[in-house]
Amino acid sequence: MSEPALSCQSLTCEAGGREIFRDLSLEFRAGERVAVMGPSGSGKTTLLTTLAGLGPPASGQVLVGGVPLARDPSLRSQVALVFQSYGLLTLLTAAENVEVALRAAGRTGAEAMAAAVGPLARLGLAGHADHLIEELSGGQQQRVAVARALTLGPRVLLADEPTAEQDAGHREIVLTELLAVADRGGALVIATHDDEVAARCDRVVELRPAVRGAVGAR
Amino acid sequence: MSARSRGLTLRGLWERRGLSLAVLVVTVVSVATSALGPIFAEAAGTALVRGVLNQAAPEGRGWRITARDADVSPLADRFRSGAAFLGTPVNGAELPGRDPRGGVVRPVIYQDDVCAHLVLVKGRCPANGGEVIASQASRLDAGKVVRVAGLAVAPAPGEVIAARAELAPLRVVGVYRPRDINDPYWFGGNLFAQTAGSSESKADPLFTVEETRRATQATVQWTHWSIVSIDPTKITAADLPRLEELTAAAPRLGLAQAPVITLSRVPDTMLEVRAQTGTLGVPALLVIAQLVALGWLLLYLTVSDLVAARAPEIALARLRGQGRLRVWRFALAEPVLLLALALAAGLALGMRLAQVVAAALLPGQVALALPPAGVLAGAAVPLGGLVAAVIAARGMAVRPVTEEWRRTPRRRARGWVIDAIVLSLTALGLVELLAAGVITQTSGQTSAALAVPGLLALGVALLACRVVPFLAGRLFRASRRAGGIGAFLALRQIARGRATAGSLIVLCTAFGMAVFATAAWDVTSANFERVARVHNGAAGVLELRAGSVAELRAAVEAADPGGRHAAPVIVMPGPPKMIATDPARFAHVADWAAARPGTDAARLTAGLAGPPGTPRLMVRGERIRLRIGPVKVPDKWEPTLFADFRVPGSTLVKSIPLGPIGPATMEWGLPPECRAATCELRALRAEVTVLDEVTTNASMFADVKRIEVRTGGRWREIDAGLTDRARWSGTASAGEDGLSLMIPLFGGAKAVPATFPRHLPALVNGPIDGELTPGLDQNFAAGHAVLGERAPLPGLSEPGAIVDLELADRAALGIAPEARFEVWVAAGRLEQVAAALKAQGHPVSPARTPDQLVSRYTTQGPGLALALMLAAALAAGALALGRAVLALYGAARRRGYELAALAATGAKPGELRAALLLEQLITLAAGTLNGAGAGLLAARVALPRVPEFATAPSTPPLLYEPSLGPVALVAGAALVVAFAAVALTAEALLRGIRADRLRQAQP
Amino acid sequence: MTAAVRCDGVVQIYKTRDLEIVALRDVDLVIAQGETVALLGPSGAGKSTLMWLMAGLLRPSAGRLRINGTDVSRLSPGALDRMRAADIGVVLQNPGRNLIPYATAAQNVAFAQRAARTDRRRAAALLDRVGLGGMRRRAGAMSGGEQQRLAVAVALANAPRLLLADEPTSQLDDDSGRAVIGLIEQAAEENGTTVVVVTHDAAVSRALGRTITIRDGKVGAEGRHGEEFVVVGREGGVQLPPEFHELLPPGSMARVEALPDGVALRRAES
Repeated sequence: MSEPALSCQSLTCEAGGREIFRDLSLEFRAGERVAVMGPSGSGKTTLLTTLAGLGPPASGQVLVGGVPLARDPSLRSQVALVFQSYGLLTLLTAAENVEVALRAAGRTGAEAMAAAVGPLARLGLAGHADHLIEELSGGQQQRVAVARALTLGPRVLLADEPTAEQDAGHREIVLTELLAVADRGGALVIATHDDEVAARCDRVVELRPAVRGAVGAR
Repeated sequence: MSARSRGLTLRGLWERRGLSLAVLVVTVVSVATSALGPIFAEAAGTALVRGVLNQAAPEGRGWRITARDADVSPLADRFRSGAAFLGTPVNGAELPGRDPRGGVVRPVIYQDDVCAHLVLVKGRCPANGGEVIASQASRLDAGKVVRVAGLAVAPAPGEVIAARAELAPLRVVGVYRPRDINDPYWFGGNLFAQTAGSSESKADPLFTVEETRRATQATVQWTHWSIVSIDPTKITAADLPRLEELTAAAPRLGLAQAPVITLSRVPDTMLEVRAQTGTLGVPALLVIAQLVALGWLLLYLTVSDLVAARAPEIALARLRGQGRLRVWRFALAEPVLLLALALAAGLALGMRLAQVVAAALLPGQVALALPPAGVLAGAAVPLGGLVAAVIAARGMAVRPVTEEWRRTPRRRARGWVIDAIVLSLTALGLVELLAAGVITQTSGQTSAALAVPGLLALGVALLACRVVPFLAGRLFRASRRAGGIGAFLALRQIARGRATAGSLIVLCTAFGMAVFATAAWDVTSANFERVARVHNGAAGVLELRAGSVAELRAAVEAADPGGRHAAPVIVMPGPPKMIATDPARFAHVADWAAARPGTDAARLTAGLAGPPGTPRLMVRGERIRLRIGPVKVPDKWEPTLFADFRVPGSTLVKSIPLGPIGPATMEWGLPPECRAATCELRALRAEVTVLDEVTTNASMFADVKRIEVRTGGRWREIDAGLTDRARWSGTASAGEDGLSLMIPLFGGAKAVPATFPRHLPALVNGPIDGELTPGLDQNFAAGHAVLGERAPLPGLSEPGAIVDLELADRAALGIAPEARFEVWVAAGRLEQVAAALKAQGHPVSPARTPDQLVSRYTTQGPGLALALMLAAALAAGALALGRAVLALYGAARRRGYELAALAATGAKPGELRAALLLEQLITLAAGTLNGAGAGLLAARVALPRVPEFATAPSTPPLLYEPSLGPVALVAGAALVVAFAAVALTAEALLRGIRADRLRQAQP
Repeated sequence: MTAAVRCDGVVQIYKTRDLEIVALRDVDLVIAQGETVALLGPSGAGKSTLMWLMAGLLRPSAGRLRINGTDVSRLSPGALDRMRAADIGVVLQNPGRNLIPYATAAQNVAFAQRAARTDRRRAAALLDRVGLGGMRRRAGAMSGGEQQRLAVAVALANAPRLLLADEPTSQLDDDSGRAVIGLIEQAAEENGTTVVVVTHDAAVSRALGRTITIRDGKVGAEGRHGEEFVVVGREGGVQLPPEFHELLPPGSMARVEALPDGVALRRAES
């Protein structure tokens, strides 16, 4: 069996002196759509950020394509994360935010400009591409964050509550784009508390606070 | 404020200790630099006043209130009541007695505490009525009894008038010698003429006590007086208005019983005081105003930051339903507390700074006080901070509370209306200052020009605020095409960010002023130096007491045989001023580099000596005799021959008549001065008088064949060159037959030995009225011929001329008492030459050097104002830089979350660092360089209008090109510091980007 | 008896740079004194907006909102402040935002009492009740759960008649969340405080008596004692809960049949 696109083994994370979760082992395969659910404080955000390689876990390891992240940090570029609070640069326009991510990944200026157009348009932001982030509504900002993650065409896309600010119509658009990642061969992991979103995924992982994770089947 | 809420306020200040500290520091420094001005100005004023008073004569330092036969001490007490700077009045009285035998005036005087101001050579001080002390010079010994006409025995009890008109006996109990006749105690009265040697009319006074007056009967009036003096150690600048009042009131003092006369030269002193302090007032005010404004600006930004940081708490207060007033109080509590603390600390710091600056610049010890103006200037700054706090708090107290919890605050673009208003005001102000000043002021100089740098820098700052983001925006496209994220991010942050504007304005304004102040100081120092060197003339000037030109030359020759280190100089004050000197030595010794840089001094001065002169006709003896050839005297003519001599001890010509022309020999006695000293024959004159009317216009001729002088009983011929054509000029011609005088009927004839040219070659530094120089005799008889161009000359501080000493001596008829004999010394040889002169027995006064002049200029009003500006502007510049760095750091820190997310999407730390560095450096550099540019522009435009001297020197012309060295130093230092600070803060920011932050939801 | 909260046709419109967003459209709502209500609904549906209106922090763009019988839009800002101080307690979602981070627990409660009456004894009692009686640390140093418990104490400092809480447990773990909800319930029971809690946490809504679901700016459904009802809106509009969307998909046509106690909707095949 081929290696899972992303996996973690015996992952334990702490924050503020408290244990968030202990001894968690999960696998995410290419083409899978997984929903991670659980009440507030159960550690969804912490799990996603650790999986994205943004901070070393207290113990355990994260592997991308079977290779531990600790051994080869450059693998982080294959995992994209949509932050819960978007993490956008407020003084840049929507298009510039997407371009910056592309430029940071090494594309040239022209390439970045070209590549940013599509995802923004597909998420209904074509008219707002040149608006500064701080002039956009919460929902629009969230979609820019999603576009930014999508543009990079990552192997694994982790999304932390990506539809929290969207109204019904846009929720559908965002979900469609995210789910399409799996169609292209990537792995999609969405942290959410929305049952509708969970319903569209292949499987659900439920996290219960301060206990080992249970892999719930659908 | 209740204890509880005070506790909360203090906790809040500690919570935001970074911002609190920033507000505190900015306020303290701004208050200090603002208060520094008035404190220092007052201290400088006091130093100036005391300086003037110390140099004034005793009559210029106080008043002498006199009246006859009436006690004036109550008047004096009333006059000085409430004025701590006036000393205790010295009361006394004088009786103009006469010596009964000779009629010489011998005054009898008593004055408070007189014995303390005399040296008692013998005996003791008078204690009882009837006791006196006499001066040494009066030869009245202790134990003698002296009587004075005017002071009679008192009537016996019961009698109204004494039966016997007997003079009161005065017993001499001691002998005195005056201690210091310049003591203000004597108020300049020339009391001790006898001791000084002249005894024709007045003897030295007999000092006694007041009892004597009561114990005797005066037949002439006693004149009472009260001397009130200003104590220079107690007077301060703040006392000046009171002093002016007193000066005005003094002449009006009066008594019912008798007329009162008040003598004083204080009004003259006050003129000088007013002149000196007047030059300080306006410049200082302008400097202070600009510093206060700059402090305001800085504080406005910093306090706004502090209040904005409290936005969440203020929203909370409103959420909890606190009323409008309470919310305001809550919002303002922290800034107000900080500002109050900072005001106190700032004033204290300002005093300390003023002490340091005063110790460096002001002569003497002046105790510093905090004048009300200082408190006001200092308080103006926190007031600006309060305004800022109110404006910021208003924004937060008024807008809907829910805005605070929105995810991202909406942006409000900076209005352009305020900018437009400020820019137009600035432009108007500049035009007003620069154009109007030229028209209304003759010199075109006005202290108001000191306001230019502030205005200009502010205008440039506002423009830069618009231009820099605009330019950054222009570069968007370019950065978009290029790869990498450093420039990409930096440009957008600058173009759109809000921290940029404030930092740019503050940096630009502060650096504009700092650079201007540096340039102004540089230019002024250079001018001070140059003017001092030109006005002093040489590296060192020694004043000598010599009797004659020959003595002076000999002294210099002995002290410096080489001829390169010392030069003899005689200075005539004129006007126009005249300097007579040895040209060759002068070329080596005088400071030509300062006056006429690049000139070949030797060649220039060589022309002064003129062609070699013919020998002078020196005579010494009792009588003079001329042998005249046969003359034909026209009918009715009575011609007379005169001889003109230059005699020692006089600056006027001494003429002797030689007798009627006719006989073959004419003889007369020489002026008495010629017996003991050498005189010079300066002219032979013939005049004709007629007895009746004569119609013919004939003329006659007389040939002088020999001139002989009798010395010690023997006649000797003098070498008069009577046959040498070159040696005589005037209405005569020398030839084979001797000196032939051509004598017309009218006008007379004059034969002058051609020992000097009619117009002395002279170096001149400007147009001289009347084309006549004073000459060594101050007779204004010498014309001059100008050599070379009219340009500044060493030693001449006003229009004047330099002539050859030898020629000047030949042309003059004596040395006027106004002449100053000086020895000018080249650099580095002062000690040597002074020692050599002293060794020859010449008393030598302390040398005058250019440094002394520079020091004087520095302590005059304009110099002080510029020094003040420099100190304060540099402090303000440092402060602005610090604040800008903090602001940029704070703004970047608030973007920490964004930057962390960017790092998470793959941006490398190196690129992030590059973005941060670029953004901050561009802002700081733009502010600093624009400011420097504005400062230089202001220097170019305003410096020629800014007065540097209390009285502008008429020569040499002042230069206004600032050397770029100091300016580059200031700007360069700022950039280096900025770079270091930015590098440090960028590092700190990058370290702070930790992944943990990303795990928490953004608050 | 006057209702604690009464909304009549409340409309709220936000203006952003280019758009106008209608956050609430024609909300009709009555909450009685002493009721405990959970406001449910997806994000962006308007729950927080409604809560801010009830807190007197916003004025409705249209319609009437009465708090304890007083028409909010008629009050001056000063009167609104006084009402907020005395009658309304607010707990915000982010624990940190409810408190002054550098002040102690007691100081925070006292701060809330500034606008009304300082009652130290009551403050101490409240702190004991939320289990922070001996807390010496500054509010910023407390854990999320402790902070939110303190926030409840602060909200109750002036014995308000109306307690509003915006997602009070969303940033807490289960235990803390339960503790906070327990406190809120206790306040309702003991003092008859009317409680309105905005939440999307099912556990929270189960603990409260009544649930009102807001969808797309309207009151969509209500629940009492665990049972869900749809609310017939102003113009007769009804929002079908999602679980029925399969049976009657949105956009499809249906026939209305009258029933003795209501109506039945039947798909119209076409």
